[in-house]
This record gives sequence, C-alpha cells and structure tokens, in this order.
Amino acid sequence: MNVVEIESALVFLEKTYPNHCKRIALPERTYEGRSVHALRIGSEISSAIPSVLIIAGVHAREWGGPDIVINFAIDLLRASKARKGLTYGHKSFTANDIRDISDQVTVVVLPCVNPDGVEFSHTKRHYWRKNRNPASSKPGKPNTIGVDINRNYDFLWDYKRYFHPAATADTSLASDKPAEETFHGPSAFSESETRNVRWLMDQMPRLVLFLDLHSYAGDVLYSWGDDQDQTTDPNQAFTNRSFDGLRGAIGDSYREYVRPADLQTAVDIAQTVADAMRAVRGQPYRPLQSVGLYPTCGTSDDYCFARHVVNPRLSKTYSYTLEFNFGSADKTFLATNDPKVLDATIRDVVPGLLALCLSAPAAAAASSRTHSLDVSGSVPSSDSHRTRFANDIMRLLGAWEAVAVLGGSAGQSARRGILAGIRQATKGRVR
Amino acid sequence: MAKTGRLPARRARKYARIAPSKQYRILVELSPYEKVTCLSRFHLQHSCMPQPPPAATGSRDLHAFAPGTAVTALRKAGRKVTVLADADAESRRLQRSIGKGDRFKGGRSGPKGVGTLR
Repeated sequence: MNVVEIESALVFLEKTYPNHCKRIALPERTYEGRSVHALRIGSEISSAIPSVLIIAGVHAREWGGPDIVINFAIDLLRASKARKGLTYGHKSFTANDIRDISDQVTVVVLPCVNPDGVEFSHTKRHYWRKNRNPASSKPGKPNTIGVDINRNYDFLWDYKRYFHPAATADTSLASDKPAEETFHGPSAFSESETRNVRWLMDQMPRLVLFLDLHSYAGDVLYSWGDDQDQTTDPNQAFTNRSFDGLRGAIGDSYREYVRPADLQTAVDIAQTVADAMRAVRGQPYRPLQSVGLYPTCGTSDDYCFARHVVNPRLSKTYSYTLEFNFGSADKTFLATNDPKVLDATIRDVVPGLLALCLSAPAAAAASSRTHSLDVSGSVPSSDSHRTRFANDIMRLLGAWEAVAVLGGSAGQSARRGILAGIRQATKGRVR
Repeated sequence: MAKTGRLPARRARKYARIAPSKQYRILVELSPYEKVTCLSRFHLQHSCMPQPPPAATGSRDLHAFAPGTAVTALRKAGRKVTVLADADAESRRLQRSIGKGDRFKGGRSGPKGVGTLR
C-alpha cells in the first residue's frame, strides 16, 4: 500500500463499519503537508475502558508495517460485525475472543506515522529511514535531511549527558549529526510525527498497552531499551541524575529499575504475542528486552512506559516494539517488498496484534495493582529499610568502580553524581 | 577493462567500480572481538538491518548501507567489503511493487483482510 492508499483504506473502514470505528484526525500535518489519521475501533476512548495503541510506518524503509496494521483493523472489524472467530494458519481466535476485544477494549491504530518518509522510500530511495524535515539539513547534502522519529521522543533524549561514552560511540543509540540515519533532531518532540503520537497517548486516559511495529529482527521487545533491567534497586532509574553518564554500557553496574511485577507482566504479554505469531506457521518470534538488540534512547516504547514514572497521574502502559520478519539466509533486505512474503508476514503478525489486544484486561489489572503502589510511594514488603541502605551502598560502590578510571568531564561528572548519591544514601546515618 | 567481462559474476561484482556518489548495500567483515563501534567513522547505516548470523569462527559480517566514499575508505583501511547491490538501482527494482495510484479510490473500496472467518 502506498501512502494515499493507507489513508483511503481508513476512509473505507469508517464507511463500511460506521458503528464499530471512527477516524481520528491528528492535530499536526507533516513537513510535506500531509494530514495523518488514526482509527479508533470499539468504544469511545474513556477512563473506564482499557485502551491499546498500535502504530506503524515510523521508519520509512521498513515496508509492510502499515499493511499489517490496516489488515489487522479489517480483520477485527469484519469478525466483530459477523460475530465470528478468525483463523491464521494454525492459530485461531474464537468468536468469544473477538467479542472480548470489541466489548472490553478500545483499540486505536495509527498505520503510518511517517508518510513523508514512506512516500520517499516508495518513490526515491528505498533505504530511507527518517522523516523528510529539512530543518537541520545542509545545502547540497541530501542525507542531512530528516530526523529519526524513533529517537525523537522525550526519553533520555539528550543521550550524551545520560549515556556512558562507550554507548554513545555506537550511532544505533542516537546521533546529533543530521547526516546519520539515527539523527535525534534538534530537541525532543521537535517533529510533528512524534508530537502526533504523543497527542494520541494524551487522549487515552487508560492506555494500558502500546506497540510500535518495526522490522527486522523477529523480536517482541519490551522495556527498557537504555540498559539491562533490574528489579531490586528503585534508585537506579532513568530519573536519577546521579547516574548520568553511566547508562547503556552493557555488563557494568548500572541497570534500569523496573518493578518485579511489571517486568513479569511485560514479559508475559510479550511471550503471548510471540506465541501467537509463532503458532501460525512456526516462525521463531521471541520476546526480548529491548536493550538486547542494542541500547537506544528517545524511542516510543520507552517513552510510553516511562510516562507513568515521570507523571504518576498517567496510566501505566506496558509498551513494546515488534520487529517483524527475519534476516534471511541470502542476506536480502526488505523482503516484505515481495507480495508473497508480505502476505505471509501479515498473516504472521496480525494474530500477534489480536493477542496483544486480548491481553489488555490483564494489563489493566496489573497496571492498577502496581501503579497504586508507585503512587503511594510504598516499597515491596521484602525490601526492609536496612536492605535498601545496603543495596544503595553496594550499588554506589559498583558505580564508582565503573567510573574510577573514566577520564575527562564525563568521568568527573559521573564521580560527582556518585558522591552526591552517597551523601543522600547516608543522610542521617553517618555523622 | 576487457578482462572484467570474463570474470565470474561474483568476482566481477567484487571488483566493480565504486562510484563515490552512489549508495551501496554491503557486508563488512568484523573479527570475533570487534564491536560495530570500531566502524563508526565510516558512517554506515545498519540500524534495524537484518544481520546474518556469525560464522563458526566467530567472525561476522555487518550488513549496512554505505556511500561509495565509505566503501572505498573501508577497503583502504584493510577491511573486507562485499558489495551486494547498488542501492539506487535496487530502489528502482523494489519500487516496482508499489502502486502509483489509489486502488481504493478514496475509500470507495478497500483491502479484504487476511484472516479466515469461522
């Protein structure tokens, strides 16, 4: 589907299923002036019903994402209307499954976040990844056009401040150079595309699941993407400035905190999604922590999961990036340009999206359960005050070992942060 | 020049002239102990690219897009580079599968879905 057809498909769905879905016009046009629409499936968005947001068409060259999302919407709508189940290869959903999604969940899909980039990839350079905003470009250098939308969200966006120098050396993390394919833009949310996605999230007061479709790795990625997960030390978190300059170096002492119950829920749902896709014809989809691919920042999934941490009044949203398809043995890229491969990929992935939506009530329950603890500031009962103090000291010692030999201003800054952490941890305990 | 035409296809591809302004899809060999960051200065585009599995020896190929200048620089630096495709020519081939108009006529028709109702 080209970008015109993606919009036409949404119009078609709204006309064909007027009682089941409605288009949502997003507030901002793209740089090239395109208007963008999402589609709500099911009940009106409200705080009473858990909602799911699925987006695609972010990285322009990862063809197939919008086709998957449109076909997911069609299948869900026609099965809801017909009150029937759906089958994809060896994976089936009963009529009750479909009814559960329709009755208990509001699903919003945004099939093409970056139509300018997708259009450019479809008509000019197929390997284009970014949007087409020339604000940071240099005359005569076409590669400097555009921003990587999935590095432009406000999660550790200022990567040189937050990440370990060893991590910033890899441009997959992000780049501040417009010529790089991971250029993160002049500021967080500098791009209309990311602001549109944020606007959608803001409209959904009970957003419990979020999924961003990408390719190519065969993974269902769950947070965090900046560093390895840990469940024991709440202080070791992206909000703690003491650890600036330490994130993203895999195997060192810094790891990103996630509540044990949240991690369990996130992994369980990722497994459910991967299992549904694998069941179709045995494609080896698997759950993986996002950082397992490579450390990232400014991504949609981490931003979405981080929102409730930064603002406890917001709903906790278990967030994923689904990397569809696999690197094939003959090492070709963009196999989804082959209509047969694309068709098979759609059949593989749509069941994963249906399984995600079926997980929404469970995610809502888990979100409410653990979120109340976050807001009240309670700590897990197993964390005695003494244990927390010991954990703090051990963590800080580990951090000190990691940066002891680090030179330059980054090392100085990290050591100052750790000293501040030690003062905070020992406050009232050491005279 | 005449000899190039007699080379087997694989060798001919290897020694094909690299145009600085063109974009190529390449494989760059990394030794078992090398990280991708050691290629940072060549500005390769490899994010989210499908990557081939490592060889039994532990060495692996990084699959990336790169301008011709980078291909030449990599080779000058002693790197083993395999040019898989001229990415611009590949664009034209791949884009043939993308329709130019609007099959759905502004929403008067649409795709049918892929699942079987039951």
